[in-house]
Amino acid sequence: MTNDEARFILRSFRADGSDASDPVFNDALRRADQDPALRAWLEHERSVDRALGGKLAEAIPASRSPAEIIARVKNRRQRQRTWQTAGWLAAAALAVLLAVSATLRLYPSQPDVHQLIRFALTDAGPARNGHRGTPPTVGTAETFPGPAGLRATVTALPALVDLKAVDCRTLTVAGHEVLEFCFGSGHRFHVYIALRGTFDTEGMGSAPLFSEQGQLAAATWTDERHVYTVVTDTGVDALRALL
Amino acid sequence: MEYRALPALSYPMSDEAFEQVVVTYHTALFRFALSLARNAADADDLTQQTFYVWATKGHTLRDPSKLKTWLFTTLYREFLKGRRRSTRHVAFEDLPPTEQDPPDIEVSAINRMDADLVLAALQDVTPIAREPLNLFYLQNMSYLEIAEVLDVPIGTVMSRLSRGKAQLRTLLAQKATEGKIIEFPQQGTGS
Repeated sequence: MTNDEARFILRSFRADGSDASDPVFNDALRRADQDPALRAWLEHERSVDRALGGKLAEAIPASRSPAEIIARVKNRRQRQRTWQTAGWLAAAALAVLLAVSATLRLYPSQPDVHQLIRFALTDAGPARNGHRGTPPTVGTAETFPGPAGLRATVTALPALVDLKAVDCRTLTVAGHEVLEFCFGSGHRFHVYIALRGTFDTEGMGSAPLFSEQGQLAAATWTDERHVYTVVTDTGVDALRALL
Repeated sequence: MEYRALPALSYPMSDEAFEQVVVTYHTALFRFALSLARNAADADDLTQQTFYVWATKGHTLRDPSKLKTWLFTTLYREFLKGRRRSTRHVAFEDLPPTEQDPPDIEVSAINRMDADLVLAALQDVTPIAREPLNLFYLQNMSYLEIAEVLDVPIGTVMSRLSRGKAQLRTLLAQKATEGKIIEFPQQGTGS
């Protein structure tokens, strides 16, 4: 180590000697012990540093008082807490809104039964595919509707078969689940069954409600638990006679 | 200037603990802030911001003996945040060359100087050298602590201290010359 290198290192040596045990300064301090010129330089350097440190400590620049800083920081924290609270409240309100919205989506409002009928008349038209066969437990396509009549046969379906287990279509109409079966070999009968509470059937009496759309006719009726719509291409009169 | 280690703090920090930290470190932090910002208003804001950060994040400090370094480091980071927004950082390489051997200065000359003049000379040192110099003289920090606060290597701290001291002495010599009192001739000595 040269004296220049030692001086460079010792310029970081604190004047009060608190770095004496730091090994970084060992070599430089040892050299200063052995070299009178370097030792004198170090002593002078420490004296100057002490004087500068003392002089700088005397200068006390005007600043905000601790009390003012404490008050300002507390005030700012209070404002921050207020905003945080407002933020939490807004987030909670948003969560409630989302929950309500999701609930409404899960449990949509009760649509009019005519929506189901209009859907059935369109769905049963020739342009639509995907219609499936007869549930095996209710007889063959050829024997449908059978001696009991169309209405009695269809109304008995939920009691006779586990509707979802048989080969039927599951549709969604206005947010509600509707099941569909197909019967008949010559004329086709499309039966749509939904839970009664899901569609507004107010005003419907015990008598079936008839509708037409193009070549298709529909008959709709209810029992205590279900809404039934049968669509066929026989025409309204033939359909009325079959019920 | 001596600082006492404060007890470990729980969260939320009590008012008393917070106030104790402000009272203890307010002046030291303000001095450092002033050396960075070079005007009292900005230094006040920096100091206040440092205590705000302490109030909100101080509970993360596990070792109470590191409080002083933590506060100075925080203040320096807050200063750098503001500076990044406004000005270009001056790299050490950009600094003008400094004299290797600064002008010699006598202790007696320093003692005769006004404290504000010495402080003003320190403020005129190039910022990158002024930062470690301030921590060295005013906070009596070791080169290791300075390196931690400024987040620079130890060698860089030593180099900046060396150059900073040289600059400070040059500036003090200049200010001493500028402010030298010209004595009037004594009565009766004139012709």
